[in-house]
Amino acid sequence: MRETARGVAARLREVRIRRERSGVWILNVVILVLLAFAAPNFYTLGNIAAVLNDAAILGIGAAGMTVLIIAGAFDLSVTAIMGLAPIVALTVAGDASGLAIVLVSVLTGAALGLVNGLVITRGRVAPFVATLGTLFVFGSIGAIISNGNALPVTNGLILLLGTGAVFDAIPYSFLIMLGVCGLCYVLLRRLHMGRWVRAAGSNLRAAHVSGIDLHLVYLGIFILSGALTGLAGIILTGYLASAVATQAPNYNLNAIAAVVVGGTSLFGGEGTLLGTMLASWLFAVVNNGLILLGVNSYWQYLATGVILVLALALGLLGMGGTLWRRPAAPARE
Amino acid sequence: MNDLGAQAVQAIDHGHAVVRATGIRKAFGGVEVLHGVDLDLRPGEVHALVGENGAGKSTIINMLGGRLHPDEGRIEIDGAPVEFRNPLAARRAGISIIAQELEVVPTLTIVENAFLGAEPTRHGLIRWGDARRRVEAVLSELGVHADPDQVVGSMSVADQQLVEIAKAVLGEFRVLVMDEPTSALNLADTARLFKIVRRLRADGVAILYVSHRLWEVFDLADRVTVLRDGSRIMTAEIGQTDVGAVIRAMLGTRSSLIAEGGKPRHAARVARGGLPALELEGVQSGELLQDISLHVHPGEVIGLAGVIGSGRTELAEAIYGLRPIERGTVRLNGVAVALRDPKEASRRGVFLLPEDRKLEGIFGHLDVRENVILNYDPNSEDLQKGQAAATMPRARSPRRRLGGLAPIPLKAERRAFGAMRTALGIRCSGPEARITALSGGNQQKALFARAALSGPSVLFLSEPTRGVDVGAKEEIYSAIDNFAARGIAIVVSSSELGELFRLATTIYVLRGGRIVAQIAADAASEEDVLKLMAG
Amino acid sequence: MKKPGLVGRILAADSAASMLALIAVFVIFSSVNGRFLTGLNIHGIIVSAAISAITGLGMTLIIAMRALDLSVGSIMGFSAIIAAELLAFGWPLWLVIVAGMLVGCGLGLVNGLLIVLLRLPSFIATLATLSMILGGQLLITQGETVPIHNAVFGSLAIGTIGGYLPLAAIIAALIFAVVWVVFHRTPFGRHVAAIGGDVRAAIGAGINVNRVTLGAFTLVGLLAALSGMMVAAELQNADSTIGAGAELTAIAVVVVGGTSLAGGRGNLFGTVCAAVLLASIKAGLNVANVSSLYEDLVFGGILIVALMVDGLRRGNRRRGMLVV
Repeated sequence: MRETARGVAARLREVRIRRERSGVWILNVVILVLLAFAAPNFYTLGNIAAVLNDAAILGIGAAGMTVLIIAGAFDLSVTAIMGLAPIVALTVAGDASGLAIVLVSVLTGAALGLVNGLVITRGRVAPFVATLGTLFVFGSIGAIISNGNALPVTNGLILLLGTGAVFDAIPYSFLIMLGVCGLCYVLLRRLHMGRWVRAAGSNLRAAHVSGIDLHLVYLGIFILSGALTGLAGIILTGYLASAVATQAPNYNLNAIAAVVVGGTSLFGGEGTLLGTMLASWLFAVVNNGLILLGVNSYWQYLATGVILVLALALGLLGMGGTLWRRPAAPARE
Repeated sequence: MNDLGAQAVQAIDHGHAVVRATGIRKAFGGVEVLHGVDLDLRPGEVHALVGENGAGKSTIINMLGGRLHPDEGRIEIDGAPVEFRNPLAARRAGISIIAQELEVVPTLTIVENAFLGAEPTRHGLIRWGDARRRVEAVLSELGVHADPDQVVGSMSVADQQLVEIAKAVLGEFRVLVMDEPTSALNLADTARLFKIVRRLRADGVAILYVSHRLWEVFDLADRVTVLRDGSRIMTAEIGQTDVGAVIRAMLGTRSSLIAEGGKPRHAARVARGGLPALELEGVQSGELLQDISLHVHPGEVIGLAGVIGSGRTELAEAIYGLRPIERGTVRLNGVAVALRDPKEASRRGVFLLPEDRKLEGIFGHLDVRENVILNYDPNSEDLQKGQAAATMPRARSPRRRLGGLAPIPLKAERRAFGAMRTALGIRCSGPEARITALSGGNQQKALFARAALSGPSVLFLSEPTRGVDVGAKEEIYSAIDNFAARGIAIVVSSSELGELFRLATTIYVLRGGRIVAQIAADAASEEDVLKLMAG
Repeated sequence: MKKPGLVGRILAADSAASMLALIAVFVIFSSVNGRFLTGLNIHGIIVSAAISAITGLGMTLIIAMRALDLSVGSIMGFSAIIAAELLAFGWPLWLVIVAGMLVGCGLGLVNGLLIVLLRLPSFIATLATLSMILGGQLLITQGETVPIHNAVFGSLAIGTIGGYLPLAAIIAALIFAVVWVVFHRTPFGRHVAAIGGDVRAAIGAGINVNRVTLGAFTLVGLLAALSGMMVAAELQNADSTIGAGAELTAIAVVVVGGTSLAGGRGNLFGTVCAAVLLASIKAGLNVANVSSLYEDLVFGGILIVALMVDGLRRGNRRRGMLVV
């Protein structure tokens, strides 16, 4: 008798969790409706394609960040990797095939992620301060290699990567994002590593006690995040037709915000890649909307922060959901 | 100054209780843990509260401390009913709790800790001179010689405890609740603590002294209350009872059950003459564990008995790689090994069921199936054989090295989970149920299943039935019997003696970090062991 | 009983290491280029050190509370810009400074509210405000630089007393004294340390963690504002580059100065020493004609190394486990 009641309660709780993730859907609908009235020129094929491209560039990096946050870690250095990886790629393989350039960018990102992972696991430094340090180190290296200049892109494939679209409507970058998110989903749900990631985020101490190799897990997720950021970076470079060390300002905040607004808990253990994609879309829409409305472009700096705060505040009021609450932490007070 | 050596009860008003708890009932998740308990504390009296783990002592303490609220019943202070909304309210009412986990800030000094939250100020600045003088006065009254500017973190646990007592004294309290205060103290520190307690008693403080150590109770207390399974079994003046009576009250009918032959059934099946699956020789770890030697053969179940602080927890952690071992040898199947972290330990077939499943066992975000299946590798031959070869560690490593990127074998996992669920009787709404929705007993069974599925050769169980209801307990015991029958070497560390006698053939008794006795379970009684534990 | 304690503490590991390093830095850089030891350069080092020390002192409290404030750089810039704008409007100097301080307090309070009300981890909240405040800066300046035509204001940063003692050092010393008293001699300061040391014990002692959090972040906001205004005074203009990346320096001076990220205690004097050390390194790199692009690299590296040393000192030797 008691067990049935418990079972019902468990199922109810699961339903509530689904509702909690609905915050990002609500915000999306609201914004899209508002734009229909305020800036109808949003709804043109060309514009939507541009927005999808923006969303994809954010989303690919944010997918990696989602995995990190689920594991209980953060990476502040992605802003620098977004610039450094493409710069290295163009410098090292600028004359080679487009594929080689992309590969080098991804591998550079992975290598930078490895550095992060080593500082954290071997150096025994907490992730967010470690990546705060590497943010500046990587950023500096990027500026030094490029001498503060913009490196031009001449390779056709790269330019296509950043600007091309299927049927002129669905950007390649967007398809890549879908693929990346699918890959991350498979990782989290279908591979052992994914389970270890979720376990580490859920209860780090228990993960250690149960024999999970935490060093391996952290190295793996930082390499993944770095690689994905390297991919996002080279796509952005293709879009801008040049590589600049600072081409993705505040990318770290944007990625974290996309993850959180999308419904992934800041405390780790569980997350949603679909939410991250939707939130990336949301941020891209908002930025685009601001441009279309002719608002001073500097407002975009505030947009991400404001939406983040709004989403969390709404969550507090029970509307967007308790996005950041610890669902299974031992109750203390 | 009062006569500190006096044990005789001073002139006390027997009728006047400072704190009176009546008819306290409390349930957690549908399971009632306190069944209408009465308790009263009188000024100038040490009232001891004893009972086995799970008897309800912590719950009562938490209620007095304002961290929990009774479902039924009431608490009165000086005759007036009170409801503590939070710990601060309890403190303001004059109740001071010295918990097992000390509440001091290790980075602050003695003075800063003693006045934390109640700093004396003038014009916004703390009057350190005044504060220091008062702390020095209290410390000398307590018989402690310490520099008040010393950082608390650098002090011994015993001294830190005294800082908490000093804090209480400075805060004008009337009731002192002490939860297992001597668990981390040596004899000298204990004697010092007792002097202080007697001093406080003489000053009219009402003291609730919770302890496993009956000899302390009979040395210090004026009255004793025994709890068992959430009910108050007896309350008596110390002079009018004895250790035997208290032990019988604590154990209830279980002691007679054991006497009637509820002994472990597999005693005959223990493989003699072979190499022990796990052997410790002269192991020393940290400051507590000294010269630990024990062994357990495949198919054998040994028990570790000892009060909290005797070193059982530390021993489990040391074997499993959570604590460094400074001296001594650990052997698996005769081969000396160094298990430096849990990862290595589990690779070699040693698995631990941790004491605190919420902190160290359960993954709240994963469903039941995933919690159970965590270390499961259907391709592991060892699992089929039911016994891992500790001399071939590499047989297990490839699984971990490649396993990360290997796909999860869903079908095999579901099957394994289903089998475990049936075998152990795990009650849940389904494999996808949230593990936090399960009762304590079923959570423990889930962790048990996890241990089983990892194909261990040595299984170390710490408090395997903590927070588990009676029905589930029996099921877990059967499972343990089963594992032993399959050739797994099992070590059970428990504060419940009945459990040890039910499961183990040999019981090692720990006290103060050393093994003080190794007894055959069919050659001793629970009373004997309790006496050995208490010293 | 107390005096030897003070001397002993000064000689204790953390500050001594900084001072030894300082001596080493001076020796190295002056041998590389004679210009390093000139009065002008030393003066510049002291001003630069004073500026980063002021923010660092505030950050010391935050880190002692086991939190982080990543927005200090943005607050510096924002206050600098406000001060410059108000001066341009003709406001009297004293009022401008007060206004700047209030702006800093306000921004710090916003940080605190985000943390307390939304229950955000401090580094996420301040990461968000970092960008939002930067946006605010850009909206006000529209990317332009605001010039300052007030010599008195300028002298607050670069002026000297008697031609030798930099005013900036005096201001920094005064602020150090005030922060020291607040941290060590007021209940608020001790509560900040208690929360960082063991928040459970702090709550048990009846400390209002929310109120202390708000207070601490407001204080660091105030100090960042003062820092920012001093930078503007030195440069005689204000734009959004002021304070860019200053959070790195601020955290670095705290960690190098010996305060542990684990919280519970704060080495204010160590922070000041580290500020001098880092300012010397920056000046040394400058004088050695090393491109300014390398500055972040060096400071980032120093931060990471200091963090690793801090980790080792905390005894995080448990194999396979992580620090979080």
